[in-house]
Amino acid sequence: MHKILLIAWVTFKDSIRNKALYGIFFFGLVLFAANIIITAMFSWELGKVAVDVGLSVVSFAGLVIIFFLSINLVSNDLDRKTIYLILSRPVGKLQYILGKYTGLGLILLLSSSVLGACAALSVEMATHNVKGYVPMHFSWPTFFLGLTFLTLSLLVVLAIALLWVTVTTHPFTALLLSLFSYFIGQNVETVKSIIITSQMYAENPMLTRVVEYASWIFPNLAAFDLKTTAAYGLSVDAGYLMWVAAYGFSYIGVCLVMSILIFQRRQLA
Amino acid sequence: MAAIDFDDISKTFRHGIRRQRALKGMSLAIHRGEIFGFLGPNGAGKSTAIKILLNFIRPDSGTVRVEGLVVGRDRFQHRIGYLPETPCFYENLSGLETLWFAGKASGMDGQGIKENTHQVLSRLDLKTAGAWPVRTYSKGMKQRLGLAMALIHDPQIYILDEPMSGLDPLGRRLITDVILDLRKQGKTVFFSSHILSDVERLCDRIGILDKGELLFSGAASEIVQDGSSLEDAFVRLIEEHEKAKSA
Repeated sequence: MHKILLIAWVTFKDSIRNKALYGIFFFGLVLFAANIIITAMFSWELGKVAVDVGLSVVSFAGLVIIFFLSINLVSNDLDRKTIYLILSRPVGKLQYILGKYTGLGLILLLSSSVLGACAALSVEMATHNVKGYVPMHFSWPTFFLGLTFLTLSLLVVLAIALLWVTVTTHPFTALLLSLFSYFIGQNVETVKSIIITSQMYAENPMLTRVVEYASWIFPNLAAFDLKTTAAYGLSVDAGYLMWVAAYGFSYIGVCLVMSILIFQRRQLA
Repeated sequence: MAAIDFDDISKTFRHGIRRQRALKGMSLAIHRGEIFGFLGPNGAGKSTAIKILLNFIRPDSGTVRVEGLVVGRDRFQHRIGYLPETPCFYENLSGLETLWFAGKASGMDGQGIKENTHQVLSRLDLKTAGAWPVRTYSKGMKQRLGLAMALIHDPQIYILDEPMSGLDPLGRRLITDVILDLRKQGKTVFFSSHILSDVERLCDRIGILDKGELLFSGAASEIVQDGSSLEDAFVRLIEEHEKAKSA
């Protein structure tokens, strides 16, 4: 555990001083300013628009951190052989993978916290003078619940990205596969329900089976999306939330176990 | 017991359908307290042997032992200090943070790290640069920081891959002095180098590798003929091996 935290510390510290991260934060802040302007262009459902844009910016910044910072950082360890200086010490590959995930996960948590606070501020500023346009049941706890599940979905995507980095030998391939997994994960449930309910595909059991398998393999990222719930302050079933959280953590666990097993066998030539 | 023992190591790499044999049944023992120079032309298999020794890659057959501990089965890493040919670091950390990380990863406590860091940075002329981010270091400074990482936990065995690579004469002298100090302390140093004058001056024994085969292992004086240099002897040995292979 001590070695995992050590790798996490070094990953976090190296990443937090990375100029690219400052760029992402700055971009996020600019988008929040834009949120106030965009919301002002709407004459109805201002609260819904402000919450949607705010949480989308947090999500977007998190994805940029995963796809362009995290994949690069771990791939650099392997390509430039920084990993040699770690694994030539009493540190195992299991500790390396878990430490890297924890360190990068902490960066995502920090990003979601800072940008989430900015999102809340931009929602407050955008709707301050137009209380009548804010949904009746809007509540901050529901907003932060949406932010929490959004962060959990980012942690799931990070675990998938780490898995692809351990499987592939080139960061670009890992990036493409991670993007591919993300887009399938976002849409697989919708596609599945369309195919199952539509008569058009009824005579194509092969397609149904492919989509069924894809829904088992790729994460159902849409399940973590509580933007509408947060925007309207809709009531949420605690059991459903528990199930989604358990699903998210289990998916992360499976990805990490697979990453460790693959990485244990990988030769670092 | 040998400090490092390569026992009949073979390794073949696959590049698509092409197979490249990197090591052919290499057996070599490095004794405790000796400085051993590992020589060979580019592509001879030196780096492959070092990577197998450090458990970065697995041999197809054979066993490597470090002080009797089997590489790939036992934990041996706390016994060694390693300097890669081109050390890469987490560039946004400072030299001090890098050494703190190296010490902690090697199981040292905070006090021990503090004491050794001070000593090692002074020895390697990096005391002022300790607080700077590694990204601001020159190549020579990075090489010295890599050596500082190998020294920080005061192991018994040092594996140095081209330690003089890219260094100016002052840097080379500094590293040479450190290696000689290690000999005085009774440490084992196993290093690969292309700079044969350094090898001749520093090493108790040498090993010469070509195309994955160990051609010679013993004192440099055993192959250096009267009036010739180690470089002449090295070139002669490699040429004879190439001729024998092509015949």
